[in-house]
Amino acid sequence: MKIVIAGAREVGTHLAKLLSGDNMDVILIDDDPDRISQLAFLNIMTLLGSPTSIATLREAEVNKADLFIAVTPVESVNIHACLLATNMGARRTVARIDNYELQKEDSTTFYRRIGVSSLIYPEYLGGQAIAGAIATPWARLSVEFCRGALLLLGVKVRAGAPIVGQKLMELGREHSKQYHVAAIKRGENLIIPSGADIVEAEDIVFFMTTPDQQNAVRLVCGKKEKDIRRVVFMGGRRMGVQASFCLPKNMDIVFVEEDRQRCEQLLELVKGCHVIQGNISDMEVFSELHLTRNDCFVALGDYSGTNVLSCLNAKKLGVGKTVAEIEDVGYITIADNLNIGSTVNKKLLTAASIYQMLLDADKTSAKVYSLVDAQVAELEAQPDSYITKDMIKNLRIDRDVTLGGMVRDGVGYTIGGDTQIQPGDHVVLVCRDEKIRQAEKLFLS
Amino acid sequence: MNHRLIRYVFGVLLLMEAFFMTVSTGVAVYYHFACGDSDWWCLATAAVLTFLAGSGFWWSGRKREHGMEKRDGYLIVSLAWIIFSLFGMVPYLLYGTVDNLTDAFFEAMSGFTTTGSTILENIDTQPHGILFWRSMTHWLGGLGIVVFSLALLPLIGGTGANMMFDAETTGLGGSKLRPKIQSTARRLWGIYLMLTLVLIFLLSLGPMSVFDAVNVAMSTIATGGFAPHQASLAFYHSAYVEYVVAIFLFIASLNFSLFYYAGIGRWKMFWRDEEFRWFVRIVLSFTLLFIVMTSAVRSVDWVSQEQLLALGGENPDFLTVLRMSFFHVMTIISSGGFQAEYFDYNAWGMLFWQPTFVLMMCGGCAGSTAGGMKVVRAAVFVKSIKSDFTRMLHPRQVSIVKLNGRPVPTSVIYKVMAMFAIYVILIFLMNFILQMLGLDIESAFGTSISAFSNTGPGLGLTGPAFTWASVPDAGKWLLAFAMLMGRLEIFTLLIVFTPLFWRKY
Repeated sequence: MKIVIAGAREVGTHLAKLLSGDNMDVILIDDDPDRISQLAFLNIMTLLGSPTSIATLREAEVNKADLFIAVTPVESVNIHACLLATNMGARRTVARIDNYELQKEDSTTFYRRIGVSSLIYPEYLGGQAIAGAIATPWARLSVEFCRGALLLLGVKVRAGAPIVGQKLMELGREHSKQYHVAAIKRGENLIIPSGADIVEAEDIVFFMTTPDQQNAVRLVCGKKEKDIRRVVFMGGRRMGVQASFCLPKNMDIVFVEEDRQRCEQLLELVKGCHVIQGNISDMEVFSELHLTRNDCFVALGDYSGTNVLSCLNAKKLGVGKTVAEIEDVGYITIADNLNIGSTVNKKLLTAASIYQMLLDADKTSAKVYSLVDAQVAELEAQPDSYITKDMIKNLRIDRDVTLGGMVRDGVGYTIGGDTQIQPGDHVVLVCRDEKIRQAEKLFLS
Repeated sequence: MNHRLIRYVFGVLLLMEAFFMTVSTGVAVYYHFACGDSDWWCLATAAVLTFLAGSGFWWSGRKREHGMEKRDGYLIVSLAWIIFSLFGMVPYLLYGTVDNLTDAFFEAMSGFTTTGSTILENIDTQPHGILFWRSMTHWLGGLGIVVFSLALLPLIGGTGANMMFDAETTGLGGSKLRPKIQSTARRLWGIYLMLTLVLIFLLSLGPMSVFDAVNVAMSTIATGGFAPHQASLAFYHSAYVEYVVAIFLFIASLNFSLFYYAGIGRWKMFWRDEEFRWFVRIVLSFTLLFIVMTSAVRSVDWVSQEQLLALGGENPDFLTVLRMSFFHVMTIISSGGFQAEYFDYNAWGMLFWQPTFVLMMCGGCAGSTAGGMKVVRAAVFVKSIKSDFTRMLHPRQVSIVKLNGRPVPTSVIYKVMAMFAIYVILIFLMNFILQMLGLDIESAFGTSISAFSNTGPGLGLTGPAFTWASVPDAGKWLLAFAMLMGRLEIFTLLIVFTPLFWRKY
């Protein structure tokens, strides 16, 4: 696979780092020598030049690229670069955009026709993730796989929940059709569980389930259904606006925004919302909001630290659910340990969505989502592959690999010991970072 | 510091060295049956020793964790060369080629750093296996030990490999051909192997035996200087050999990435590369200079008979002078240090020494196997001085240093200047120490420059007509160290000796 990335800012650099691990040749283009020189030690090739210069693109051998990703901050540059790349022979192009209108069906088909295969709007992805977190307020993490047929839920379990103290083997006997415990995060460690493992209080348990079975997961974790009626967005930037579009219509929406002009824009953009002009760190604003347990507090300020702190404050004031935007990937683990509910990171979401595109281009391997030390991967079983030989319980599979769920003919199922994988099934598995190659081999003929 | 990872890398490197020792053993065994050489057991023992040590290192580092710091990279690259030399000297000691540790280590280090200064006075009586291993040390070191291993073995991946590659390759950095450092190394290695094979073929067409052709080819492509005869290339009395070697020294002094681009059809990169143009100009103008100087010196009436004999013999035609000058320029600027028929610049007269040492310090292009400071640095150096003068006269005029049409960042200019300064300081320091050890100023100066530039022949006692055997032991150790410093372009090795390197921050 040859991948050319234009724009060495946050998303571009993050993608380059993630993609460079596998057997992919990554070339990163940027026109700022300082940014380029900081990436000297990555296992990628950097190229100084404008992404819209034909000479630069030729030097990057765009004609041989399987994927061209334009993620500079300027939408028009990205689209321009993608058009050039397609016409020079790139197989597939992705442009980052910052205009919601372009996401509409008719404009995506139009852009596909003129040469931009996909458009990515990170703020929209972030908005979707926030809406997902609000829809399952009792879960820390909620990620959809195989276009929504399977769901990965991460739930923090407290003492007294039915699941605590149970052996997974016993749990599996009764509920294997409903969910599958794919991983457990205990403190800093991630455990890929076997049947003999026992869930402890304060663990974060990752369940693989289908969307219609999420209630079973909620019950076994001892979580009460929370009725979120109002969402408070701290910061009125685009991600919040996108999230508000994804929320149910009956939800009350409040924006807290410092800039007067933006406040007025927000009123125009989001119908029926309330806007408060104020600062995220102003305690007066908090008291004015009268937060209750039927509220969700979403902190989308410029600084991760402020977001985390304001979420902690909101929690203290009794809010039902908090979501914080954390821009620095390195701080996500720390934020998770702070009990602030869910976290959102545009970079990880964008990267995950581009991985999804890689899967479409190259059926054999894809890394879809990264937990702390583990990968959640979606793989397609090839005809005659080892995994299709027998029922799961009779196969020899590494203990650091667990098969969570699968999609057959568009319908999601969880996987138990009696499941027989058939060729063409899409399987979502969780495994330790270093075992991903081993896991892949199971699926190759 | 990631000790386990460092041990693991050393293990893999030593296993590779053991493999190439085994190859040399094969050569020795062949000549044992062909002409009764008795050195095969020395090479075999050395190979076994190296293999055991390599496996030990490898085993003790098997539980390594990923992740390499910058300092790990510098330490690995610096120590790798020393460890390689420590094991590489074992065959010399076992066979009795040399009778003491100092000489053995010096010969091995001189081999790996492709300096090619020898302390052997009896090369012609050495068995084939030892000679082959001697040339092999050049060939392994030419491309860089770590780069060589990155190409052949799945050593380590990711940023660690990048750091080591950067610490070992020459020039201003940023010479990646492919996104993956392993595939870059593999392509460089392919070019290296190809050039060697072509040269072996061309040389064996001439008056050389195949064994000599293989040895001289490995030594030439690595711009080393070891030859299987005491008289070096003069042994063959052949203009063909001298031209072929001189031309391949020229090729080996070019940036190897140019061959890669030529290979994928981008021939224009050659002339578009500013360093290449500078290098061609330097070679041509110095060849011309030596031709003019030779004719001038030969025509004055105070020239001594000795000088006349050294400068092309009794009555040389133009072709002899041309051959002598071209070979001299190439063997010195490429840091090869081979000796041809009229090679003894020591006897040419003092007038010739100055331009010779300028060539020595200049060296070949970045990313080649040549030593010295590299043409690209000389180019940046000259250009930045030019822009300084512009600024002095026209303070408001904006002037930047450009290379290949791109501005050179100030940090790079600083580093070039620092390198130049440290280079000169170290040469003077080494000169001073060698004088204290009893060398005369001519020899001391020539030896220092030659060691730091990885050239081979020095001046006076260590001049082209002699070996370095007469240097005192302490001097040999220091010079071995100087050669390594020159090969790693000073900073990589020097930084390990700074207190900063061993502090946490």
